[in-house]
Amino acid sequence: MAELEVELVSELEALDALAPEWDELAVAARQPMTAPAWMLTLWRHLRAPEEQARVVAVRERGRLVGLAPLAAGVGLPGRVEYRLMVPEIPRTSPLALPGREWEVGAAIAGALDRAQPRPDVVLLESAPLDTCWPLALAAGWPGRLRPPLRQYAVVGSPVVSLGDASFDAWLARRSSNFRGQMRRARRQFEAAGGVSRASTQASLHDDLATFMRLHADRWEGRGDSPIVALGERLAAAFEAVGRLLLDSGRFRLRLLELEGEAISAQLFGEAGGEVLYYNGGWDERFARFKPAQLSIFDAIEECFERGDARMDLGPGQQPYKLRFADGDDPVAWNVLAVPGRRLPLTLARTLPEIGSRELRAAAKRALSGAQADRLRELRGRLRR
Amino acid sequence: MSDAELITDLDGLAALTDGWDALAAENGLPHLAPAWVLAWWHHVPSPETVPRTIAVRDGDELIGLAPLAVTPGSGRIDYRVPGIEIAGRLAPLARAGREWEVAEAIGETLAAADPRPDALILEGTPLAAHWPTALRDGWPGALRPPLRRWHVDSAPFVALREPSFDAWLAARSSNFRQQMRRLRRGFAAAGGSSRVSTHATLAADAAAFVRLHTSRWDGRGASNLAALGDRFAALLVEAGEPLLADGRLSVRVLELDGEPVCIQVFLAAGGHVLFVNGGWDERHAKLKPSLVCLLEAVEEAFARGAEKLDLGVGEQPYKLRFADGGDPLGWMMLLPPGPRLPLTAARSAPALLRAGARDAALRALPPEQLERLRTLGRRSGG
Repeated sequence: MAELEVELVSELEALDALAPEWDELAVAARQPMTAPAWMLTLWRHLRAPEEQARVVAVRERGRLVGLAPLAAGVGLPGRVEYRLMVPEIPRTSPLALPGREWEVGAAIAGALDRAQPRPDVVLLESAPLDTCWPLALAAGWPGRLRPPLRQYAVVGSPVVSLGDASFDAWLARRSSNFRGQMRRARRQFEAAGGVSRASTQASLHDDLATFMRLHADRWEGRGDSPIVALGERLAAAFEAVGRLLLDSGRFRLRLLELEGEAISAQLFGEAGGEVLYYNGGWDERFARFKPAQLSIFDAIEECFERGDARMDLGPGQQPYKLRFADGDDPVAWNVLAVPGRRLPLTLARTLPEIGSRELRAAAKRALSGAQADRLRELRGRLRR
Repeated sequence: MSDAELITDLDGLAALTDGWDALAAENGLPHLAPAWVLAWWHHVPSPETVPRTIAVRDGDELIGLAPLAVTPGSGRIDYRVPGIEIAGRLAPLARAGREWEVAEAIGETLAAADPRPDALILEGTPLAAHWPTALRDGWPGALRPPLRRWHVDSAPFVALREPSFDAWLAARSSNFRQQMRRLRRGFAAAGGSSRVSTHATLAADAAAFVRLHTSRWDGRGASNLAALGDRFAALLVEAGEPLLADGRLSVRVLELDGEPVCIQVFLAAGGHVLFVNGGWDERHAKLKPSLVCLLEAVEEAFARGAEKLDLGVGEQPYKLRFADGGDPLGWMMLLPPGPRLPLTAARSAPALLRAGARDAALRALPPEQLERLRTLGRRSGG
């Protein structure tokens, strides 16, 4: 293994030039939405004005062997935060050729230590749990002090392995209850005149508008959704991503329609045989057809046609995902506090946030369901 | 839904062989194959060590297995995956994606096991794995067990992505190719030959391995493998019975004039080959027998359709000549909550603090100061 060369890239034109090699790394790491078509496009559309791209490119004999697509911004009062360019998308992390994470991590850490503005923290959010990135960055950070590193949240991410020879073989391996239910749902939907289709370049714009509308309707009165909050900007960003990736099958928007009206829209990305479910929406008036499940069922059939290896249903263990899942590949949230004069201040700013999360997690473990409900109710009252 | 069973004897462990072997292959952990682990039980542990295996099933299917050994410590009851004195890359086994479910079942079973574990030790466990977090989060009860990592070590590997050995060699630097070809020619010109052990030669080759390995370590510090001595040879012979025929155990021998000058041991499962260890005769250092032997092993791995050759713990220069990646390993300790936790934490703290101080010294001190410190440590240690 030769000496690694490190470059910190901030200009968008230079990042565009990196895209082909960057994409190869995303495919090798099987991280659909860390690919430049997703990251750079979403960054262009969604970034806050004060955020700055700080992408670390690591080369060996001229070849890109690692890349950390980071952005610098100011978070908690005065805290300079480096995080993946688009924190809204799941399962993202720095990228490297398989087996090079540890040395690339050290090279990235060295570059970040010299970067301006100097990071107070590096956040790896919704990062695959079974990677060594957080530790590689901490162990490789230059200087006498090892940066404090804390994993402050872990969220399950149900997965469907697609190792069977065909969709039918996969289905045959499921429980008879699952098979019966899904076949019945499909038959009923088709009998009602339902059609399942994938978005095309021609239909993409309208399909994304449908996706946003169905998602917003679904979340109405149910709390906050970042998709709803980003609204039109996100739709435009997705359209730009779709224009780049739709034809290669790496951007998949699946729609269910009844009499020409969309009742479900679900969005997926793909890289290296890994399909990642991003999110979706469906019309509750048609709940009897189980539109979300039916869409995923159709998407899985498409995966088999395309020869994909696995579908990741994304963070969160909602019951409709668990109907399909045969495994769990959680993602984790990590914070690395950078050593330096500002470290005590950073820790003082960071610890209460982490402490409250950990307290919540501890309460979840320690309390019974009824006790947890009472605590939630009490907190709600106090907030009011 | 999964069911867990605690198995407390070796017969019960041996009965799991088929499903267990499939798990070792799926996880790419040759060192955890049943033939190897059972041979370990027969030849390595102290008499006080007892087996505690957690088998996790979904219906009839074995979806996870933690073949643990309970080792008596200094008043602390340690549960650990067996085999770290021989090689790293040890972990519980699970079907892909079922690690969390299996970890929860392991935790629940261990929490009720007898003797109750004071510490669950994960040594030489891949860092890029779910296990430490999954075992910590899946442990039953109101309190999450503290998890402490006290050491990380590198484990270089050779990715065998190319379609053939020749294509792999062609993809290396010209310097590497020339050196390897020169070494092979030099070894052949000296009358050297290379072979792998057969059932007929294994016992003698295993004994020669122990001799070469032990003499190589003579005066160089402690080798766990050298300390095992003939017991390791016996383990090799027993494991070789089922594993030798299909190349799952490969003992590669370089000979000069009929005398072994280098022997390296490899285990394979599921396309992953693990370099266990080796020994060579220093009188023939100019022929660089360990490099020649490793090159032969890479060629054999290609011939067998392997995907990865794991060169084992440590970044020795001869490994780095071959490696094109690394897959670091961690040494971790999970301390289950319970009345004995404060005592266990107090007993574990000195070792953890020593490891922390060593790590801090490695980061903070220049090499010459570090060397002085090492010399001082050796002197004070006698």
